[in-house]
Amino acid sequence: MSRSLANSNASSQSAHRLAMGLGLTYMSLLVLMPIAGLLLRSIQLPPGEYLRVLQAPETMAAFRLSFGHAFLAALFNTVTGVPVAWVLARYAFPGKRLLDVWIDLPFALPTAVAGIALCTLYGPHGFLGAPLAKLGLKVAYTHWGVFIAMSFVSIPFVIRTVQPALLNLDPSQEEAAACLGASRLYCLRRVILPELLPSILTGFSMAFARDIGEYGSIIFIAGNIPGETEILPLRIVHALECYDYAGATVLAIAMMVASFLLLLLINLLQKRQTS
Amino acid sequence: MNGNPSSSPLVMEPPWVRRALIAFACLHIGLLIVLPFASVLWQAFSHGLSTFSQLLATRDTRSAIALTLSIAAIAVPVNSLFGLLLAWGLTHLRFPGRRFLLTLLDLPFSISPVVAGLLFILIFGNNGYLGPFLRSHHLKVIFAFPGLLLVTLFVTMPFVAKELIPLMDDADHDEEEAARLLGGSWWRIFWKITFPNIKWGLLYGIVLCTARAMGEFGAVAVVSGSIRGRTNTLPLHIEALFQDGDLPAASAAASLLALLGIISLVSRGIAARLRKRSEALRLSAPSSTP
Amino acid sequence: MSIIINNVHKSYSGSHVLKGINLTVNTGELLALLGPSGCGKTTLLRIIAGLEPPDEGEVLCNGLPAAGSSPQESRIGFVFQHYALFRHMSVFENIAFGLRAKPRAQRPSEAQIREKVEKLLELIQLEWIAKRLPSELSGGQRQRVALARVLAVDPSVLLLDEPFGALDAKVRQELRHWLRERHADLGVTTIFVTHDQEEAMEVSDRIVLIHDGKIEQTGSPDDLYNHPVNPFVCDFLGLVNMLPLHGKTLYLRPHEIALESAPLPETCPATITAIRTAGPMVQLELRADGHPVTVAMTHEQFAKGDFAIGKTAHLRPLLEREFG
Repeated sequence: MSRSLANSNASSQSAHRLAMGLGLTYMSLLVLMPIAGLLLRSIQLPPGEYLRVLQAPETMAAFRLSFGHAFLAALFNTVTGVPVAWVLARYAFPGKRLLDVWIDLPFALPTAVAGIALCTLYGPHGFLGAPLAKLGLKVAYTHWGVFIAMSFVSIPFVIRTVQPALLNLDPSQEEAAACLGASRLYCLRRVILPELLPSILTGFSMAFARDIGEYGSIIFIAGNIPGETEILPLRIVHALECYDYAGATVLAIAMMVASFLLLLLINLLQKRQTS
Repeated sequence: MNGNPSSSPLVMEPPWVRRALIAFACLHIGLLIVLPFASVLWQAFSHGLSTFSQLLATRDTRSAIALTLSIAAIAVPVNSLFGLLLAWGLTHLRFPGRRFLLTLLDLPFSISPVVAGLLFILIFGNNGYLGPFLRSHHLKVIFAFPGLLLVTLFVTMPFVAKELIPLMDDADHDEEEAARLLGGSWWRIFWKITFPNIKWGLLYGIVLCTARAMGEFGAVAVVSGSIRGRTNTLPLHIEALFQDGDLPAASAAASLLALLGIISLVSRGIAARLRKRSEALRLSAPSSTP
Repeated sequence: MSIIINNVHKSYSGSHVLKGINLTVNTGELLALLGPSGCGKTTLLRIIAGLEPPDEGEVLCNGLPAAGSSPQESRIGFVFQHYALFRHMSVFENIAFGLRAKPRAQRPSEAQIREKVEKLLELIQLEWIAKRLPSELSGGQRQRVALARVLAVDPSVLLLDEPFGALDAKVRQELRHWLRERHADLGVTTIFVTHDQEEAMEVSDRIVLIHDGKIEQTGSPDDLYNHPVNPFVCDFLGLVNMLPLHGKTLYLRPHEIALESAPLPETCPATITAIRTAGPMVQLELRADGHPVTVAMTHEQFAKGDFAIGKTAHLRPLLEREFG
């Protein structure tokens, strides 16, 4: 009995190890090695290359556009996402399930489809684009297009991180605040929002990171004029089209380092909040 | 009692606030998500179904569809298998660096698709690490099918594992332990106890993986070279049609891909419901009332 | 402040939780709402607090309807079962919350807030933890902070939901005493909910025993223990033997039965099955005509008698308690 148990234990242990080994090998070959390749390239480049690429005015403009608009889009989705999460977590109303399902669409839709969809809507002859153009606001092929596309692809992040946090809130905390005479608004500001802050920050940083890396949906609607509406990933693509591998590598590394630092910063903020 | 919003009137917003917030949420989602989606379908179908099928009937579009399908046909099974292995190993073994590995699993999601494409050009491209070797053996990876497959594998790698890890973590290791004490082989334990708990999650992971494999744009764009009829996947073909100024054809192809999005949304709903039901079945034995 | 509860009914999704509660709470009283879990006592407390509206009936505070006015206006302080301390605020900020939440016109100055919070910290004997977060406190400390937080807004009624439920036995004992003393100092009308009859008897002036949404009996701890009005009250307040004797069913507590060595007209025979020491008393388990019976006596009485397992003794009821 004990012997067969030991056998069975050992055999499942070794089955787990074999699975882990195969999985890890696959992951290393497919993911870790290519990334190591990029890092290796980046340290082999002479510093002059970095300066050449990063100091180009188009690069600086692309950095400003990508990071600035990603920040704005993530901020927009945070400000609008928290009330939507609130509605989904707290209120009952007809059509709520349907609303809940639609929110995931930007995750589920291929980016090229999102790009075309936004173009048909905000293009010069689009349903929204035409009236907006009449008002003097050109969306498609301007930096507004970048903002719209970034906003679209990152809508779900804040909603989907804040919604479960709201459901997990202890209702008696709010009742306690009310019993102590706090108004609803005061309770929101001093009791609920501080509790939600970590998940809001998480959602924001996920949206921000996604927006920086986003390519497919933006290039359809952005116009892609170097120095004006050219986002960073597109700059990499352009570098590759000119066989400027060094330039592409520098941009990729700079992009990864910048987003890494930003995420680290947000993580630290979040940790300070929760501890 | 916890988890439910309190029924107390003291912690409820006044009705007008509630109504305004609900209206805002509906308007927000309607304007930003539903409207663009409806608009692309409108573009594609506004001239009737027959025009729609004509728009899709060109040779280039057909070959793009075939290419996309064949990439997915390889990438999805491979990543499902390795995702399952990774999830199974990571949830059943405890070793130093395990948490680090779990973070690494997110890498393909957190890297820009364009950078993902670049990674493979740096290895397999003309000036890449393996470039001279490939050239001397007349092998083509970049701007050819193998390159498209590789980047697709890369960007869809985490889906199945990410979907399964929380399920396998939640699932009762006690049950498996008990089966092991009774002397069950690892295969029987996996098949009889682990698998039934994860099957819906696995299915959903596969759906997500398929949708992304067919819909990926950025990474594929970088390594494809966009040779029409040869290395243009369906998403790339949409862009080509769009650049030609043929918005109806681009929209028609896009609606075809949009189906993928719809399928993954619907299966998300179904998977969630099935999971809830099987959980309810498991829990109904010890306690009768919620 | 006095509270009058008039014919209060409440249902949740079809189940009738409170079925017509009538109760008057006097100013300065320390009242226990006692009952088994799910009897509706917490719901009643929440209705008194104004956290839930009653389906029917009303709650009057000092003769005025409590409905519609906020707990702040009616000056009701509610301490939650799991304390509901604000997790991201220090102990000091938790206690100051009610003062800072006041509308600007009524809000005390920063110095006044500081003074008041320090006084309360002194009252709960926790001056040294003002800067800590709730997660760094023990259960008993959290309970006292929750109480101080409520006292900061000078409530005229204190409502406590299972105040000792989540604590260890020893801390619970200490806090019971502490609560009694604070009540004596402050004289605030206090209502607390408990499912523990010992706790209710030890702490309160008056007990309201609730069962299945109705009040079974209201009275002093002595009333309920010694003069229960029905078998449920009798059974809930402590161990009771149902003794069929001469065609009647007597409900007797272990110390209300004496053991005789020889049969008398009013006795019935029983066999001793177990003997154990229970603190100041000795407890004997017997079987009389198939019924288990527990009898308690002092060690002195036990020493006088000749009791051993397997021997026969004769049960003599010391009083006649029966319910029609």
